[in-house]
Amino acid sequence: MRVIVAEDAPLLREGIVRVLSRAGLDVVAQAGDADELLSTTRAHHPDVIVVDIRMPPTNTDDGLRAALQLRADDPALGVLILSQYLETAYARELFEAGVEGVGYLLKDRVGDIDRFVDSVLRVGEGDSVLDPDVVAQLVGRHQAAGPMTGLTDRERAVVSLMAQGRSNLAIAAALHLSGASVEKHIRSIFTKLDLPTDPDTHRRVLTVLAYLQSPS
Amino acid sequence: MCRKGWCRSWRVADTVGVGGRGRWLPALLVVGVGVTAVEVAVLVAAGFGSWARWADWPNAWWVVLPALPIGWSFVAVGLFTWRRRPDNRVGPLMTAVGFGQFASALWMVPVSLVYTVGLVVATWFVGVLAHLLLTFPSGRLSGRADRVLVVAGYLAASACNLVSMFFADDTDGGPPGVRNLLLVRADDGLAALLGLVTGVLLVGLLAVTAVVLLYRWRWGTTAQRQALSPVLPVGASYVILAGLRLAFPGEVGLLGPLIALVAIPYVFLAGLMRIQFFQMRALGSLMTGLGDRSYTGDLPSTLAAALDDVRVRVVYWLPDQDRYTDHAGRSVDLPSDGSGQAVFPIERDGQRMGAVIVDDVVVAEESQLVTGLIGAVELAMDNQRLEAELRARVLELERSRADVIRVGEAQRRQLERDLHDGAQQQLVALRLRLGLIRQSLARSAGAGRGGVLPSDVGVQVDTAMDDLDAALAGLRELAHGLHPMLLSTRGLAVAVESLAARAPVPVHVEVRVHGRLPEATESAAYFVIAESLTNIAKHAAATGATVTVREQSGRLLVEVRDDGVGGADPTGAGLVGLAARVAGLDGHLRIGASAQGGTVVQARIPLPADRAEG
Repeated sequence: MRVIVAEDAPLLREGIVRVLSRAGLDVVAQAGDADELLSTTRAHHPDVIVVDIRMPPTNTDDGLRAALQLRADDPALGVLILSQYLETAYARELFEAGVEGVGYLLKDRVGDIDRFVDSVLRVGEGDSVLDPDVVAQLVGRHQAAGPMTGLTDRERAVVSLMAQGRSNLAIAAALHLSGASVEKHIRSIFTKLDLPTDPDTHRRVLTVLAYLQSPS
Repeated sequence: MCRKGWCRSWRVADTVGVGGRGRWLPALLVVGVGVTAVEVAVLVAAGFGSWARWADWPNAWWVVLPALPIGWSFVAVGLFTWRRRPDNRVGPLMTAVGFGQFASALWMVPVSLVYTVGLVVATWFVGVLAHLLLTFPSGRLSGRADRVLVVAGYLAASACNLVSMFFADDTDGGPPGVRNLLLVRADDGLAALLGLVTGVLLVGLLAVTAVVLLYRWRWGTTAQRQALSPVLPVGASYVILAGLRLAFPGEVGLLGPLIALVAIPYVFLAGLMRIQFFQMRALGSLMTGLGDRSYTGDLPSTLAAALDDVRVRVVYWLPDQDRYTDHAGRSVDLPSDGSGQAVFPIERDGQRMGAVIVDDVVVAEESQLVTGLIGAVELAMDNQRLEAELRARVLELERSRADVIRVGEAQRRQLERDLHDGAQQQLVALRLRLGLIRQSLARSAGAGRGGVLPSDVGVQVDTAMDDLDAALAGLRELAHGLHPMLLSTRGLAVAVESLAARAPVPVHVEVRVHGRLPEATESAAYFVIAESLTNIAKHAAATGATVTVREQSGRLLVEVRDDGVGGADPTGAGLVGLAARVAGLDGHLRIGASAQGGTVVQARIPLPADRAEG
């Protein structure tokens, strides 16, 4: 899998590149600011870009905007956003640009190397990944009304793990359930959320989107 | 409007002080009482005489009786006026007319010498009366024409009887047994003629005086017009009646002028009081105008409105430019001596503030008004000066407060940036390094992906990573509290949604704001909401909260309402800081109890005027 890493802090950028390279991914380029990200992505056509939100020139949300622009140019591009901001608003913006192959992680997560590499791969393959802390904040919101209110607590826990990008097996392990009961819960969730019943990744992604877009 | 000669302006320098009146008073009274006593004796003798038929004094009653009360009227009012207005000659003149009246009855005393002298001075009072009329109400003669008239009046009044007495032999009208000591040659016809001529002259002069008065009443200064209104009709009728008396000598003819004379002192008094009244009213109106809430600082307009047509100018002194200016800032030169205007400098605490320029005439005739005026102008100028200083100070304070707030904001942003680029970044890198260490450990221990490390070191690494996570979370919160980047990048509405999401109670959010607001305003509104939600989480024991932000009448209204237990402490550091921040934007923060028992925090912040609403 071909990756471009965009991060303005050089130490961190090198660390990420090293981690990804050791895991076998092909880091075709690096970028230190938004403009560089744009130019290298257009030049190299990677599968995934790993982008820090806050980068030069304005050091506000340049990375996010550049990523969204690249995504608009090529909807198949996988975008994994790294951020030090725990803001569901940015995640929402990202997902509004399309639910396949997008991810939002706090920068801290790069230290969980295996999980991080897994997230990059999943985003590259078209899955969606949400940082557990972001998910926790979404869970913490008190929803007046919305598709989530019809779910049981267990089902909601499954959804939150799904939103984090975990596989069914991982969900089963996390919740101490069998794989079968996880699948049962998932079917129930899809029904309650009124999603079509063909089992492919799109539904999972749609679930996550529903989760994200629920009113607070 | 003052025109031509009769009321021409003149120099103020000629202030004539009539001082020492205190000494004169007892002497005057003694003389007055003495003369009265004599004349009363005459009356008594005449009355007794006719009754006893040993004397024939036909005119005694007609002449003496009216003279006494008229005389005392003039003396009383004259002394009163003299006392009240010491530097006004009207007082002494009126007193003199009174004594002139006493003198005019002296010729009834049955002593030849007194009879003769009495006849000569009998008409003196007319001259004094003319003088009085011409100087009324200021007590000053206003030009050469006036002076000529007065002198002519005195001459005529003295000569009136004198010349005819050289030839008059007829003493029938007088007391019994007297002789005309001034008789030169008996010629009754000539005496009568001379008497008539001088009489006509006198009446003519009186008529001219009356015309002058009429002119002044129509076109004179304000004071003249006000004072002469009551005087003129009476004065004019006196003149007419005196003239008629010449035509119809006899007792009946006496009655007319007598009645007019009785009235004159009182109308004079009325005239003087009228001036006083109008001056007080003008000053009162001026003071009210200056103290009025709607007083705009336009001193000349307020003066003009209060004082009718009194010609007064106010000029301001600019110390740093060393010149006088008018209200609009144009340069003004002070009038020089002799230009007919007087200058009164206005100073406070030794500092020159300006000056009042008044026509000489006004100063002469309405000195009390001018004094009051200067006092009022002084107050007003001082007020203006203080107000200007105050405004400058307030402006300075507001600016410095705005600076402080701005600098504080900038510092916070810098701190957030330093945190982000510094400590946070480093800790993330450190965590990555720990992660790599863990990976190496896992590989060397042979554990699978994401597996639990058996060794002690592994546990320690895991613990270290957890600690780092906590530190990073803490730093994240800290940075967020310093400056929420979302607010700058996405605006108030999104940032408030984010705040609501973090709150431990359900928060209903309604933000109706179009577009972005000024940075400082968004920041203040955001932190009001953030602090309020924090307080709700900590103290309120609420089940829910509502946040509304909307624009109304050029202001941003922010409200945070909860249904908790209430009792917010407005003196807490957070709220005090918020109040200061809101106040620094000319806004207002209010914390109160809601009807349901919880707390309501409201902030109102003015928005820029050029912002389109809706």
